[in-house]
Amino acid sequence: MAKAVGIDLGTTNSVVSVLEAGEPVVIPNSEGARTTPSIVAFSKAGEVLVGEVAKRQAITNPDRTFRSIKRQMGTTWTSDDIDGKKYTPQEISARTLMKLKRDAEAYLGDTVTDAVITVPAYFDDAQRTATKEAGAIAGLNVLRIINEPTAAALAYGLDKSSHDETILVFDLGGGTFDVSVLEIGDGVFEVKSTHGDTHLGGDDWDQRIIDWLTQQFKSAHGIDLAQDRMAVQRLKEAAEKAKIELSQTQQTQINLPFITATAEGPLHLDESLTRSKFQEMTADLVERCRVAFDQAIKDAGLTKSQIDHVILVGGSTRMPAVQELVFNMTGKEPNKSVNPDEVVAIGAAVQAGVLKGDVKDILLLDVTPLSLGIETKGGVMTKLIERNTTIPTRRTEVFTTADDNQPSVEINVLQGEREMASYNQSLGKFNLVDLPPAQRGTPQIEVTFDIDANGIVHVSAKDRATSKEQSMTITSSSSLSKEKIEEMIRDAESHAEDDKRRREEAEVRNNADSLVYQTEKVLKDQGDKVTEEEKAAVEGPLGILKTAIAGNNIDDIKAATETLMGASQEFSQKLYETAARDSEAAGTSASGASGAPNDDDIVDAEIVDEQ
Amino acid sequence: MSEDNVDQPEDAIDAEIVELIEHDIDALVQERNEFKDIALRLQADFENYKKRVTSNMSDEVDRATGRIADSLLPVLDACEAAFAHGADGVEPIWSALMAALLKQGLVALDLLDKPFDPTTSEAVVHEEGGGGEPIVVEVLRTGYEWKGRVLRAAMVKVRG
Repeated sequence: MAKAVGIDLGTTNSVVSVLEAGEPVVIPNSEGARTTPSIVAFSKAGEVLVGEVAKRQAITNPDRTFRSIKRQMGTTWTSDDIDGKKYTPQEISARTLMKLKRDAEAYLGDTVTDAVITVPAYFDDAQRTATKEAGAIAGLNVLRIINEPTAAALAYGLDKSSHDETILVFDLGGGTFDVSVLEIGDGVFEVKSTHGDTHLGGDDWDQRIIDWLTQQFKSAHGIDLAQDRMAVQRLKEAAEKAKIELSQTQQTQINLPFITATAEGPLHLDESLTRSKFQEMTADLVERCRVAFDQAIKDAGLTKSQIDHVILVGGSTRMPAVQELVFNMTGKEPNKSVNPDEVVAIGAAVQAGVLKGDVKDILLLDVTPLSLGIETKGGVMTKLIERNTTIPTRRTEVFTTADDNQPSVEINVLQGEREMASYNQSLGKFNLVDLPPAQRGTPQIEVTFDIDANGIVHVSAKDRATSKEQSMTITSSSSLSKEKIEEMIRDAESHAEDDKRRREEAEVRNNADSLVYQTEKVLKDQGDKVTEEEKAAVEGPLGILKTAIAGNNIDDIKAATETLMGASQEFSQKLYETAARDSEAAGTSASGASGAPNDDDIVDAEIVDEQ
Repeated sequence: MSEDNVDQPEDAIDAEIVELIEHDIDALVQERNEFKDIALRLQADFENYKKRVTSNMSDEVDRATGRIADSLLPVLDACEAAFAHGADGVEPIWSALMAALLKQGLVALDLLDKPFDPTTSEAVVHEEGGGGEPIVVEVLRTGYEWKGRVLRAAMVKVRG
C-alpha cells in the first residue's frame, strides 16, 4: 500500500520518515545514512548527483554543484546554463526529494506518493509555493507544507494537550539557527514569533576548534596548516569529532599523526581539549543564540515563565553549553528524547499519517494493561497473555490434571503481575466437569484466552478427549483505572523477590509431590521384582519426603527430594539389573521415575507446545 | 377495483421492505468489503515488514561491524603515513592488522590513475587538467570498503 512520508528538506541536510503501524520511522538512504546532505550536482557527463556523492566532487565541479539551495527558494534565482538548461531552485531541490523518494521506496519495498514537507516558520508564500512545486516535480503529491517548529511539536505529541500552551522551539542545525514561539489551542498551532540567525550553526563551532588547532600547531612548529588542503580536511573531521565527543566527556584527545612534513621529517598533531576550553572559545556563538531567544520572546509578547514546553531541534543542541543556555533562559528542562536531527521529519510523518487517514479509528489498537492467566498447582499464577500485548489476540495452552481420576478442573481466571494467584485479581471461576477417569498428567485440557478488540475476555477450557467445553466471558477486565493498574505493576516490582521465592517454593512442593507420586507408583508396580532391602532403600527417603512436604521447611523438602531422587534412580538401576523384564515394564518404571519433576509448573505436568 | 386497492398497498409494502433490505445488504456488503480490504492490507503490510526486517538484519550487522572497522581506520592511516616516512618496524604490525581486517571484509580501494569517482573518493585538491575526464593523480588518504559498501571515501587529488 503506497505510503505517505514526512520530509525535512533542510538547508544542509534532509531527512525522510514514514509511519509504520502508527510509529514514525526514519528511512536510511541508499548509502545507509539517516540524513542526506542537501547538495545537488550535475556531473560533466550530465549525471545528476545528490547527497554525499555530490559533496565529494564539489571542488572539481563548483559551477555545477549546488549547496544550500533552500536559501534561494521563492526567489527568481536560476543557475547558469547547464547543458542547455537553467535550473530554478525548485528544480534543484526536486532532485534531493527524488533521491529521498527513490531510496525510501527501495527500503520499504513499496511506492511512496504522498508527502508532507516542512519549511521554516518564516517562509513566505513564494517560498512555500516553490517548496510545493519541488515536491510535484519530484513526483510527490504534497499533502501539506507545515512549519518546522510545528512538526517538532507534533513529534512530541504536544498537539494533544487539553488546554492552550506555549511552546518554544530551539533549532540549531548545521548552518542556521531558528527560535520559534508557538501557541497550541484546540489542536491548532499558531506561530507567535520567530527569530534567528541564518548563518549560525554547528559548523561555526567546528571552525573554532580548527582555528585553535591551527594556532597551536603554528606556535609549536611554525607551520600554517591552513595552507595544506589535505591537512585542513583532516582537521575538519577531527574538529567535528572532538566537538561531538565533548558533548559526552569533559576532555578529548585530538591525535593526527603525520599531519604534515618538513625537510626535517614528519610532524604530528596531538592536542588535548577540555570542555571548558571549548566553551570558552565558543562563548560568543552561544551568546548569539541568547540574543535571538530574547528577541523571539519579546516579539511574542511573553515572559519566559509563560513558556510551557521547550523543544530542541538540530544536532548542535546536543552541546551541553547550548542545553545549559536553554535551561537558563527558560527555566525548563527541554524535550530532547526524540533525536534532534530527526524530530522535524518525524513530526512531518505524523502529520502525513493523519492527513492520509490510514490510521482509521477502527484500526487504533489497544493493549491489555495487565497480564492474564489461570491458577495452577501450588497456588501459582500461570500467565497466558502478557501485559502490553496488543489486542485483539488469542492464546491457547494445554494443561493437565493434578490428581488421579480428577473429575474436573477449576479455571480461576486471574489478572495481575504477581507470581502467586492469591495476590492477583480473580476475574471469575468456572469448572470443566465430567472428565473421564485417568491418571494425573494424562488428560489434555486446552485453555484458550481470547481478547477481542473491545477488551472483552473470553476464556474457555476444552477436554481434548471428550471435546467437552466450558467457558466464560469477562467484561470487567479493562475497567481498572490507570492509577490502579500502575499501582499493581509497582506492587509486583516491589514484591518481585518475595514472589519469586514463593513461586520457587511452590515449584519445589510440586516437584516433591510429583516425585512422591511417581515413586509410590513404581514401588507398587515393580515392588515385587526387588528385594525387601532394596525396597526399603527407597521407602525410607520416601517417608522422609512425605513428612517434609507436610511441614513448612522448603530446604527440608528440597533436600529430601534430592535424596529420594538418588534412591529412586538407584532403584531403577536395580530393576534393570534384575535381568529379564519385558522392556515395556522397565521402560515405564524408568520413565516414571525420571519423567515428573522438571516439567513446567503448570496445572501439573507438561505444557504441550501449542500456538 | 376495491380488491386491487387492498392488494396494492400490500405489494407496495413488500416492495418497500425488499428495497430496504436490499439497501441494508448493499451497505453491509460494502462495509464487509472495506474490512476485508483493511485486513488484507494489514496482513500484507505485516508480511512485507517481516521480510524487510529480516533482510535489513544482516545489513544492520554489517553496519555495526563496519563502525568498528571505521574506528580502526585512523590506526591504518597512521601506519601508512609512518611507513611512507620510513619509520622502522611499522610494516609487520600494519600488515598483520590489514590481514585481519581483510579477512573480515575490509577492502582497501585502489584508485590511483583511475577516473575520479565520487562514490568512492572525495576530491580535496583540484588541478585544472587538459579537459579530459577527471583522473585521480594522488591518493592523499586511502579509502576503504566494508562488506561491499564504501566505508570511508578516499581523499584524493584530481586533475581534469
